[in-house]
Amino acid sequence: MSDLNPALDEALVSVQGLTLDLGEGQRRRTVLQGVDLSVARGQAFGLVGESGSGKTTVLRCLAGQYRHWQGQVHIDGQPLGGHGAGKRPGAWGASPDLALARRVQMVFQDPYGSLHPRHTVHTALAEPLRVHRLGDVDDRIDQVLDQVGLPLAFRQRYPHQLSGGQRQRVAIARALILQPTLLLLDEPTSALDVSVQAEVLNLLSELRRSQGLTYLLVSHDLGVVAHLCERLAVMQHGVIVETLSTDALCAGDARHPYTRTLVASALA
Amino acid sequence: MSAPLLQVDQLNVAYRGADGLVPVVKGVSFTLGREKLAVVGESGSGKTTVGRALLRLLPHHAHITAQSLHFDGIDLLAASAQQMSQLRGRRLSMIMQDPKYSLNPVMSVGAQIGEAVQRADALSRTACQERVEQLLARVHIREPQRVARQYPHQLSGGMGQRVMIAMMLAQKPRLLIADEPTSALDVSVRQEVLDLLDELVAEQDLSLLFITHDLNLVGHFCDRVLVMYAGRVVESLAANQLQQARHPYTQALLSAVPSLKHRRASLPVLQRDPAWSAA
Amino acid sequence: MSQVLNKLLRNRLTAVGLAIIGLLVALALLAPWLASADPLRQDLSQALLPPGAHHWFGTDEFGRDVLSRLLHGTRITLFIVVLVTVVVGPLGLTVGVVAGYFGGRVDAVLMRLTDMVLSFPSLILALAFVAAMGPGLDHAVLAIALTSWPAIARLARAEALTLRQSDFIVVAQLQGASNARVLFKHLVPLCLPSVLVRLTMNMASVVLTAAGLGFLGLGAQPPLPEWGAMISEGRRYMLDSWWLVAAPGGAILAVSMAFNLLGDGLNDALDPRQTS
Repeated sequence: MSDLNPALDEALVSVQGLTLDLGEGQRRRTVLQGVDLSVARGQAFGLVGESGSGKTTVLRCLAGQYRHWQGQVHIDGQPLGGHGAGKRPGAWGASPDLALARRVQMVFQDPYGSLHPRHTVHTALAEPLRVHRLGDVDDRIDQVLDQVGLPLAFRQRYPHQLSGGQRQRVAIARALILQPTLLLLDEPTSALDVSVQAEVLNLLSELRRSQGLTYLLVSHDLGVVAHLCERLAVMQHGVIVETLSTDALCAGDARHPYTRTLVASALA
Repeated sequence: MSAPLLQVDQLNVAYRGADGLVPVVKGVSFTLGREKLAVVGESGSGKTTVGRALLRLLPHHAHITAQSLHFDGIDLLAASAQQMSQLRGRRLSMIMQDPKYSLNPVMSVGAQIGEAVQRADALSRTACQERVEQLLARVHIREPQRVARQYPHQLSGGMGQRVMIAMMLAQKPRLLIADEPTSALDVSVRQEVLDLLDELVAEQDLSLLFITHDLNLVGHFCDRVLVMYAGRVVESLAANQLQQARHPYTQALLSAVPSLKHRRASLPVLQRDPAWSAA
Repeated sequence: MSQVLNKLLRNRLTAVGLAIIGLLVALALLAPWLASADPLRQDLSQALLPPGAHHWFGTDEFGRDVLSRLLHGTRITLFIVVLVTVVVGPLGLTVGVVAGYFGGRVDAVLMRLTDMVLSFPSLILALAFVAAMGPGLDHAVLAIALTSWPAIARLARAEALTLRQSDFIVVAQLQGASNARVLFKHLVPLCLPSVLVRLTMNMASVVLTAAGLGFLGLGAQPPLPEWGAMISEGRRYMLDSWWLVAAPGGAILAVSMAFNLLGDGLNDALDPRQTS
């Protein structure tokens, strides 16, 4: 566990005491309660839990979608603004955090919902480049399509002309085109068929190796997390109940009863 | 040995599109007795279409043909719309994936189950209410009275699915077609719903056709498994013999799932053989 | 685009609507050559002639050929419809999309403004504007535009409210796109179909409102051959010279019905959920 558990100042991602309440008045509830985790550079870290555990909320906080959380978050040495630090995207007068966008990108669960239905693959991939005023648009697009194993001819296709697996590859390509250091993955394969999932998981493994990326993967599927990640944390009701290495998990060394239940279901 | 409850012989379903007939189910044949039969396949395999074809719930531009499509002695293909309407829900029932979409959002749970109860027997209001609570208790819902007053959006996924099962039970069907009933549920809740289905199959003379994409799930839960690919049944085998599957597609499906027990650096990728969807 | 056209033409009623509007546009373009007479030239010796060989729709009280006036009136009608749509479309769309996307206080302010305008019957409000600005065709157009945008805004807001939670919008935000960019490059293109349908159906009521204003003498001023004004002027002679009122009335009916039919068909053609 020691060499996999990075010291806080060396970690690419360090989260301490992340706490978040959502809702107003009577419907206010604590969604995250003192979440601590750290991910080393080049590592893949999994967040496992069932629906309502708060795992996706952690990702959204790291992506800057929520701003009113408490705690300390550092990404690549830079502190991420939390409570009181600027407005969330989509609020009136919010200014986008371009620097964060260059460092962190996200891949979503639903390949059908994460691509704009009226934008071609080319437009979807060119968009982040235009926002950041980066040149060599065509070259960068070709390069990234190649990295995800899609033929260059797909540039002119619309999402409805692509299969689920192809859409997810486009989503991955779009996340990579800004060359981020950290990739947040929100259940990237749970909406895909088993055979397609295998291809996409292989792609993600390969990309991490070749591009030196760091992954924070959220999933309810222990098998997927065990395949991609070296370390994982188990979440339940907004709290991390256990953090351990995948090797320990597979060796049956999980200690928390909830973790053991999850492992038992996965092995059944 | 009595005749099987459901007999399907050479079922073909095709949709009339702009460029002619597009086949979706090709020559599917199977029988179902008093057992749990799984139909497993990925998206586009035609598994859901098979289920809906049995209930004649496909859109009218779908062409259904078969050499034989018999349920409990009734010819499903020749049945009139009225006969089918009598059969559906009463003898042949279906539960679907997401209770949020299958339950009427503006009616209370009790009212909806009550409707199903009334369809089976005309009962007085109090008798009906009692029956509704009985059914809710049968599906292991604690506080049936309170839940009967709730609306679908107030129920968790697992509870919603139990409500669907209760509605289905109200009319005491012989055959239940379950279309991905646990796919939208959390892993811990999944087992509870499967256990419930198991109980009901054992005690109620109910046969189950379980449609899913999850091959590993049915290995433990069902008696027999049919594997579908591109509209055809490529393999039919007993659930406890899944590991000895012979068709390359079934083997590939089994090995493509990332497993805690067998960790591999790279998952085997399915090589689609065009021979699987031909003849 | 061609798919949409195909779907439109398959519905017979819609095809009729499209044909009538096509005819309207053609007549408007060719009016100076098609009209046999100068619509403004008076010839009192030919006054109030019934429809006949020389004057297919008869003449009015000043001896002007009604058909020629009708034909030139198509230009005015088209002018009003196009100008109003060009103003109302972008205005309503922008207000609605901004309100729906930002929510909160922005939404509240914009929607209260929209509600205020919506709560007045549009003709009354248009009357008030024209009364304030003075009669005239341009003022009539402005007045109608100022009263028609709320419906579009509400529609666009409803679409934006649903769409702003989509993953692809979150993606755009995550990539660092400014709110303006997300609004106009990502959100607006998806709100367009329903707005276009509504705008098309709106055109029917624009025609009627313009005719109403013209009838009340507050729109196009004489001697312009605006259809509503023609009905107003012809009212006095209606009992004996029915053609003075029937001809422009029939034209208004045909055109507003055509826009309705087109809008209806467009709704079906643009709806992605409709299968043939």
